[in-house]
Amino acid sequence: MAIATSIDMLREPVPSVAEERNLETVEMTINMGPQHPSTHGVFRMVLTLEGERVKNVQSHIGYLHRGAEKLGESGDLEGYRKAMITLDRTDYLSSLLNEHAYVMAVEKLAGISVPERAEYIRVILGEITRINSHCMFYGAFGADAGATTPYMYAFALREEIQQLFEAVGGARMFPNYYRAGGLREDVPQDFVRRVQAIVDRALYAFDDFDNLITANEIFLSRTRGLGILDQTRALDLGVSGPLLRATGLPYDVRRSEPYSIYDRFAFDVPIGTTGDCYERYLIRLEEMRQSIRIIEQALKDLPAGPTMGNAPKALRPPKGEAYVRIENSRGDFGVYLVSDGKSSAPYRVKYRSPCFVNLQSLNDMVIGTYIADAVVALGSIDIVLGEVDR
Amino acid sequence: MTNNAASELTLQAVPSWMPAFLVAPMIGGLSLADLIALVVLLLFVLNFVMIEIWMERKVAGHIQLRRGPLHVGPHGSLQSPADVLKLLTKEDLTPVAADPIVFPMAPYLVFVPVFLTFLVIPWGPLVLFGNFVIRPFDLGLVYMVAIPAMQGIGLVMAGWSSGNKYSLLGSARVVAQLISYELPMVIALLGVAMMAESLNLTTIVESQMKQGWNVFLQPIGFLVFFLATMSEMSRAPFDIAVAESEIVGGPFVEYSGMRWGMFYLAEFAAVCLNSALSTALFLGGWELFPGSRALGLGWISDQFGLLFFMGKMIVLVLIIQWARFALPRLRIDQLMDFAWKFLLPAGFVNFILTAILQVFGFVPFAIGIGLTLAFAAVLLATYQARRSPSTVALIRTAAAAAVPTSQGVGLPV
Repeated sequence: MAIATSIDMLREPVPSVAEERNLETVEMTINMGPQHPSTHGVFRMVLTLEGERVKNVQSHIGYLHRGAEKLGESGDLEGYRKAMITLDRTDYLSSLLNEHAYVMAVEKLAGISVPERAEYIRVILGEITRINSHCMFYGAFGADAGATTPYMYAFALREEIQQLFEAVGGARMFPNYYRAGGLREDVPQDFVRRVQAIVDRALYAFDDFDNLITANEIFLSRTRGLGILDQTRALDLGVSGPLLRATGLPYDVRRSEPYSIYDRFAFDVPIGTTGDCYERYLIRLEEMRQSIRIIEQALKDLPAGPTMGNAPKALRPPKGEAYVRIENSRGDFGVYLVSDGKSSAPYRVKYRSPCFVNLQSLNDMVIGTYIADAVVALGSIDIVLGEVDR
Repeated sequence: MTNNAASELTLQAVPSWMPAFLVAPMIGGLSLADLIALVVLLLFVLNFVMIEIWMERKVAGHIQLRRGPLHVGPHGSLQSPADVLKLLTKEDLTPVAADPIVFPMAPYLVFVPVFLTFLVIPWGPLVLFGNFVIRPFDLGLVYMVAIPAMQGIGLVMAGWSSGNKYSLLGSARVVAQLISYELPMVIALLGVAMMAESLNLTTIVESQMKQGWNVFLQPIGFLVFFLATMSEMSRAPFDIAVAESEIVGGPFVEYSGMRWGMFYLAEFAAVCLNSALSTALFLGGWELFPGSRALGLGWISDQFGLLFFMGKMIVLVLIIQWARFALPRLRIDQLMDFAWKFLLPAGFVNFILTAILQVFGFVPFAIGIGLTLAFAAVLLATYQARRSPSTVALIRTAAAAAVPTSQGVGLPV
């Protein structure tokens, strides 16, 4: 470039280096995932960048596709129980909630009734699972925003919860504990005491969660006003769970279409006003507290009695279909079962996965933000890739 | 070593703690004493970094409901040497896409500037050894700003030569960050230079012993300097350059083995360095407590000053480590805003207030500080008032509030 020798020369537009040398500008794409610390499993997104800004995002799923539904249809020996084994492994964070949906579908299909005690235990364990899953969200969301400590606090609580699962169902992550007609076996003798201990510990832990990052200035500036999803768009996309509630719609299957014995408990459905990442976070924290309320009521009323009805071991339901939906920790989880009336395994198994649907809102949230925001927005959707890919 | 050693060595060129016969032989401008001093300094830095890493892991552990390293050595204290051994035995991979010359060079260009800056730090006296300072330059303050800035070149080289987009993004962030935070840092240092009327770090420490620690006379300057240096060395919450959850480690993604170790070493050495600089410039260097000389306790500092210096330095290191595990990370635009819209104006305010102190005396200065603090309090209060504590409206009468599916809100399958 020439050195300006007069005022006039300064007024002339100076060509940039790229223009002078006829260089071409290429958009930068960056590949996030499937191996990336904050894509929550094996999600992959290809970001088109303009500096630090995200111009476009292309998501790729399917890295964890294991054919969970199809495998569930092939249970020759295990019959209707086999689908539950793979179902546990789809959304590995809300396994007991999803098991609940599945056994309810089987019960509906075969017309089996469930003893009271089993229903109460299902609700207690389901709500503990919800807390467990939201703890994971809390830790991961903090890590996405750059804070490492929330993970540890959340996992300290998770550890106790998983020890309870181990005591009850024999496994920490995949209990495979519910059966059509009740439970595989009764809970241990000290169940009530252990749950009570978790409740006490959890209320204390939630205050710790709040103290750590909820009012933190950096955390607020990172999450507020980010990834806003308005109510119409959310409904158009079919989004459910905390994402939908953050937009201000108090839609919770436990309330809107009460299943099991949820109509007996008093609890609140927290909703947001703007639908940004921060409200999703607050809603999940509040949901954990509401779950504690449900657990406390259920513990108080927990009846004695059998935990298994008179359901046959080998089910052969009449020809027909059943669809059951529940509120799992990510949203509206549905199980669709078809029986052909002949075989001892379901003819068709289909799961309505909230993660898969919620993930579609990613583009709405991410485009136009910074790279760092893309990570936080993805974290606020709270996906489990096992369930997205099934 | 006599009591007055501290005031005598202002213009001394070689370490005072070296015997005279080592000073005489000169090889290309370096005496034997210089070389020994450099080796001692290097050993100190390397060992302190190891202790610091152990400290950081312990701090992290105790903040995060864990215990930190526990098994190698008593309380895991030998964990860092074990890690260094592991790093030394690992292969130094060079990716195919990397530049074969620049890529291996970059780690050293990052560490060397940090190490060189240690030369001007006045560590303070210790009985029998004299005053520990390797080069008490008259331009020490300029030197300590200029040399670490070279680190940016090394980081850009690392990021660019790795042939990785994450690295490239990281190094672009490093440059933006270094340029933005250099400015408030230098502005904050202007106040220090004006207070001491010198750019020599030893003189600055001594002047603080006479007129009070700079942290009290330059509170805003200290804040600006401390935060700016924290950002300069890319420590949380300003660690956007290495942001693990976004760009997976920035310029260091492709490095392995001891080359990666060099970056790590440079980072921890920088923490030590900046804590030492803050101690020397603002916390009265090796003085035991402010005004100790007036109480006739100056001899304690003159005899054991090195220990007090180290103590203050370690406290600052702990504060930096605490921040890392307590705070989330800023976004790049927020980081820039913080530098240009907060630190820089604050630095100028400090500059003006210091000028008032030097020209008009203490009373107008105190009024100025008071006004500034009042202004800051008002700003904070308005900000807090605008920020409501919680945005979630809870629906307490939940039974009435829930939307039945039949209302058309229904569920897509």
